[in-house]
Amino acid sequence: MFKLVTRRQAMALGAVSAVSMFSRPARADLAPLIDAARKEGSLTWYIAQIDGETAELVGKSFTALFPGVTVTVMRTTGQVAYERLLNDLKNSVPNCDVFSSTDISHYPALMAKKALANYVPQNAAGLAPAFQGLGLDGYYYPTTSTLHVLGYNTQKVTAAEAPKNWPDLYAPQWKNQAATGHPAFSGYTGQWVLAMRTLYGWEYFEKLEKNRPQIGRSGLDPITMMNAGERKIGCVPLSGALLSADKGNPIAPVYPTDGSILCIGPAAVMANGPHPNAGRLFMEYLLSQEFAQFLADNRVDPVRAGVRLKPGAKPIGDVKLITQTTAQIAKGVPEIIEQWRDTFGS
Amino acid sequence: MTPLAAEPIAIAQTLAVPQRRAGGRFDPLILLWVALAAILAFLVINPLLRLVLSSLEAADTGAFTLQNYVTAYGRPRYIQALWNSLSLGACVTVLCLIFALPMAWAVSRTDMPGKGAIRLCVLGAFITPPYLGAIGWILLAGPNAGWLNKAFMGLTGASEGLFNIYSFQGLTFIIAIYSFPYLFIFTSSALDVVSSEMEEAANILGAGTLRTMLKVTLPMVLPAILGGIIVTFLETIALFGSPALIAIPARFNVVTTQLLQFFNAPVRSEVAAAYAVPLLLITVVLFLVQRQLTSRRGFVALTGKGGERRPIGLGFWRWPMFCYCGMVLSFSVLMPYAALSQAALAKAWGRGWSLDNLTLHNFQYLLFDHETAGRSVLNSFFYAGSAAFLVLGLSLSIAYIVARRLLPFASVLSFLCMAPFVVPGIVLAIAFYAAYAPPPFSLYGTSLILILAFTTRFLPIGFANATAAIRSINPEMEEAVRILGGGRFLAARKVLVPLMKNSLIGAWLLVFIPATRELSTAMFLYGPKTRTMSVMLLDLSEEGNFEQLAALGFMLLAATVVIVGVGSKLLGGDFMLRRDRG
Repeated sequence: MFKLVTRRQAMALGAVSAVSMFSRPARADLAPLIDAARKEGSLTWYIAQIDGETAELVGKSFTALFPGVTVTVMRTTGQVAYERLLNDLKNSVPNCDVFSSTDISHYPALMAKKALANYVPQNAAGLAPAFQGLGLDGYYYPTTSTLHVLGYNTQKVTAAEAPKNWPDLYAPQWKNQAATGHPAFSGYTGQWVLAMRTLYGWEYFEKLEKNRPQIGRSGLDPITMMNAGERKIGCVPLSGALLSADKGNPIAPVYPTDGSILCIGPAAVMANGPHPNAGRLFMEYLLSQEFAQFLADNRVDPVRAGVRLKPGAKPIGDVKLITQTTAQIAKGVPEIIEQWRDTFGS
Repeated sequence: MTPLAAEPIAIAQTLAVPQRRAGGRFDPLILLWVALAAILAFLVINPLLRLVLSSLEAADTGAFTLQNYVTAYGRPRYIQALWNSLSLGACVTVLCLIFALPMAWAVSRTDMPGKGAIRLCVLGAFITPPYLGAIGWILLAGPNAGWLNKAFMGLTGASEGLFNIYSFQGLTFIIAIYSFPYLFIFTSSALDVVSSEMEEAANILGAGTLRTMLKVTLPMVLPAILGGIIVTFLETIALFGSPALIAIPARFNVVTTQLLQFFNAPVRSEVAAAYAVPLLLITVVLFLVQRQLTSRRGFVALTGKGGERRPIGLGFWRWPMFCYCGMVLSFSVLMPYAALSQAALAKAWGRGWSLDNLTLHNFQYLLFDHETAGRSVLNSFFYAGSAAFLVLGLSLSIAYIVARRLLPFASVLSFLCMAPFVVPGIVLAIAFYAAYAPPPFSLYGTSLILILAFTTRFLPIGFANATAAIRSINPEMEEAVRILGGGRFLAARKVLVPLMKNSLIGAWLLVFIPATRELSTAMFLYGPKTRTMSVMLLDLSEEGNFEQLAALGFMLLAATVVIVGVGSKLLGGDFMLRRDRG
């Protein structure tokens, strides 16, 4: 059970749980929603929390669970997805049904625009206690989470040499060897930058710039750079690093001693989405136990309890965490994007 | 714009006797004029007007303001981006001249070996999307893991690589190797129709080959070179994909990446418009300069009637010349595709060539398991094909009216057809966004807005070609039809179209190919259902998924090659490169 889930297995998993979802009397009242979703036939999902390939897999397994409802996956970085959504809203051209960003502060802003549908998913009751109340009941809920941690290329760096804490990123031996994402693109990278500013002040990045880190766009970009051998170390979403290592790539995560940044991946149904029922059904799926297990199998941290974790990942209770409130993120991330551009030039 | 360097022929035919319009009575063609004018107003005038107007509007109230300009140019970083773009455009143009001019001269005028292969590789460079080539070069010249740098470090024991693609120079290089085909095509097709008489005269008067080329041959094709320079410059500053890949890690911004930042939350499309308007002015100035430069001298040597054209013997220099061309083309085609093929067939490209790293999974995944990859391929070809047909229809009708002087003010139409040429692609996209994304049109995210934007973007290419084709046909054949009682449309259908078949297919392809790889226009206008392959490639590059990206690039390439192959078959030869019209 601890191997990577193939597409076929995911489908099989879906087929089994479709039965269980239908058969459980408590969920019988999802039936009208399922019928209505089938009539709509599809939905569009703006997703930033996982890589494109895994996102496509989520779409497929949803369709396997609810045949006749397909998922159009728009995988971009969080800030790009949000820009796209704002453009949609500004031009009154609704495209998106479910919005899964990497920046939780997008959601209060969308609430203010009355852009989120009021919907209480039945499955929301199953959120693990730690994740309850992180969203806003009736509007948006955490559906995934991951930690932002350090990572290194295992062929070029030994575990003993690997960086242990965040200031190690600017240690002289890593000149031209570190990699990061870009806070103007990646929501998780933005939260990491904000956390560093809080912990160490902006000088942290001025010192980091002296080491000339490789700046990508997505938070996943440093993983690519390390796999390629282009860079030896980087800051990465834990889920992406573990998934990549599962595929046989030479990469390993490090939980920094000064704290891993807990990044919440929320989701919401859009108020003006063209497929309101399919969107709501998909939201139910994102909060279901089946999806939580799917996430764990694909290395993303689930937001429900009772999930079998794959080996190599620490239970979240054993990790020193840095958490930030939605209000802090909403205020801080736009600021650090500007500071970033001033310091790094792009 | 004259990518076919239709200019020489066009100039040669300007003296074709204009037909006189039947005077007095109401001409139903007026209705056609009105219809065409309305279409052009929709495609060209309205978007640009909206762009200028929205740059002068306050975001919320719509009241008149100059604040957008203050915001757009109020920070040193924003002005720096503009300066970076201008110097990038200039550097790329210079590099393209160095790449393209010797090659064009050698292919058109000399006895250099392997000319067919060189032309074929130029075609290969032309159909390669620049950002795909950029990925190839990231694999080749990434500072630590690029193949070239690894080879260099392996050979010399150096601890650092030789090349850093993530730099201004790196960006200049990878743009130039995919932009030089414009200059090559312009120059070589102009050279193709210059007769050898003047060169021989120079030789007789004692000038050597080099001196003759510099003092006689090149000056004669100066208008074509200037045209090529302007196209290269404009295409460079309008490029988005390669700068997004290279400039962000290289820590500088250019106009296009800066424009995108104005679309960050909170979306400030008014500021983006204000930032774009001066760009428009720069290009208009460029054109005026070109007019000025070319109007002062006569270029009547380009009669196109053709004296004899004999290849110049290069002697010893035949092979060095061939090697030079081969080197440039291996930069743009052979080397990056070798790197990309490794990535496309790899499980993880960083592991290099090895049996256990080989897989066809990337292709299989994109073709069968990916919900939208297949559709994005079809979208690209459908939009590009539709736009190419629209461009041809429009530009043929207008070119016909203009060439035969059927209506007064026809030149207004021809001006409007050429006007989009001075609008960089990304500015055009923002203009289209401002004009047609919001209600009442609400075209945002539809196929239609992409097709219309592509149509506008490539209208000048089609119009230049249609004009050249029509001017090359003597009106007396149509007159014969009319004397025998046929109408004008019958004449057009039965005489003009068959005669122009080849140039029409050529023109269609010349719109189609750049439209399939168009990114900067598409990225502001696409929606979930209308994602094009270029946008898809950009999305894949964002998460560093080079394996699938490379596989998708090969699929794009394969499909383009098939279409170009079919086109060439229909033409019975090379569609864009050979200009000998017998």
